[in-house]
Amino acid sequence: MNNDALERIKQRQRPSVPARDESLMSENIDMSLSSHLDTKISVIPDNVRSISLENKSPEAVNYIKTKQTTMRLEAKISERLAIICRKNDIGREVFLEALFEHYELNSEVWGKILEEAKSKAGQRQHLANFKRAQSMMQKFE
Amino acid sequence: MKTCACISLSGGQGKSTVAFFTALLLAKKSQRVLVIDSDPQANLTFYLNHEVQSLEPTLLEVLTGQVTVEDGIYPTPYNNLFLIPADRGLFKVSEYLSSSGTGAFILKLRLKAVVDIFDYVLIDVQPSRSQICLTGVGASDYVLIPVEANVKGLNSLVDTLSFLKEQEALAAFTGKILGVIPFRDRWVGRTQTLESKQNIEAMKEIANSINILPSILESEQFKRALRQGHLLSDIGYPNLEYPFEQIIEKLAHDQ
Repeated sequence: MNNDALERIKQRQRPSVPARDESLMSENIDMSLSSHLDTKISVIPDNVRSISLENKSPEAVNYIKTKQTTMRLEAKISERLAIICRKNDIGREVFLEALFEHYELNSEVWGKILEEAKSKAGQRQHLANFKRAQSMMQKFE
Repeated sequence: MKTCACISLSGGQGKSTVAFFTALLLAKKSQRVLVIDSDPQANLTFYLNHEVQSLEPTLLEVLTGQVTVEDGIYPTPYNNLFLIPADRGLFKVSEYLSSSGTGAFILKLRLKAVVDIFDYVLIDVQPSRSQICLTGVGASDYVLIPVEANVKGLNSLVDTLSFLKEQEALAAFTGKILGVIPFRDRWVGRTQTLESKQNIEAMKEIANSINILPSILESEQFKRALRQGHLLSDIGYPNLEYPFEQIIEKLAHDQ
């Protein structure tokens, strides 16, 4: 199992991450949101807007509970996403949240999005099965 | 899996040198080794000939949870040797570690995912009383303290031991000090210089009951081996490898 695990690490497709900021002064909003634990954000930066805030009570506006997960995106899409987010000075999390909330209300487009997502899921599963089979074949060579 | 950090709170004490040669030797002995470069200076990443790409994960993204630990592990040109690299951007993780309160534990937590994959994890720790240093130390079953055989080294040893004691009292460091390794021990022919001799004697006094391991001699061959990415035995100097053999011996047999 251990040798296979090392082979999987060698062949792994790594996700793209946002370019690292090496400057001393700038603040990284993505970093403050990407915590291992569920976080409560007590102050919302001025440049972050969310449709879901419009109908909340004043007390609720000061409290947004977030949940951290790991996302693995296709490398090129991740890069394109990173470019758009950098250009607009927003994190990918709030961009995806806005996209989701906007299209969830549009049933025609929503159906097409789900269809596309299922097709991508099928492709990834096929690729994962192929890699697993390759790895098994190497083990028994 | 045994995890060992190389720690000294001053720079230039030999941490990256110890981590590099120990890792290569372990890997040559067919041990599965993971090296973690936990220093924004990223010397170890450089020695292991890894080029960090701007959009590829490093230790920063592993610690902040942006990627899984497996996504941050890369093969190296050496069999059995893998690396979680760093670059200058790693210093930004301090903000995350201190605000989340997870500094001492987060690397230990992340490494749980690979406990069955590697035999040894070696961590090259940032030379500073920082959250990055704390997370390296907090993850370690053992620490090695390389110390230059001069006054700067002695001050570093005092500071490092004090730091480890503080962290032990807070249960942030639960490991064991494997030993102190004198670094750049200078000999002229078969005679140790007075400076080196006196400084190593002082190390023994400061370290008290902690082992003083065989010293790393001052030699141009270390620089040559680092520059070429080879073991000392590979470039014809097996005797200079003795300190790392002893480190491995201690790591292997300590329970």
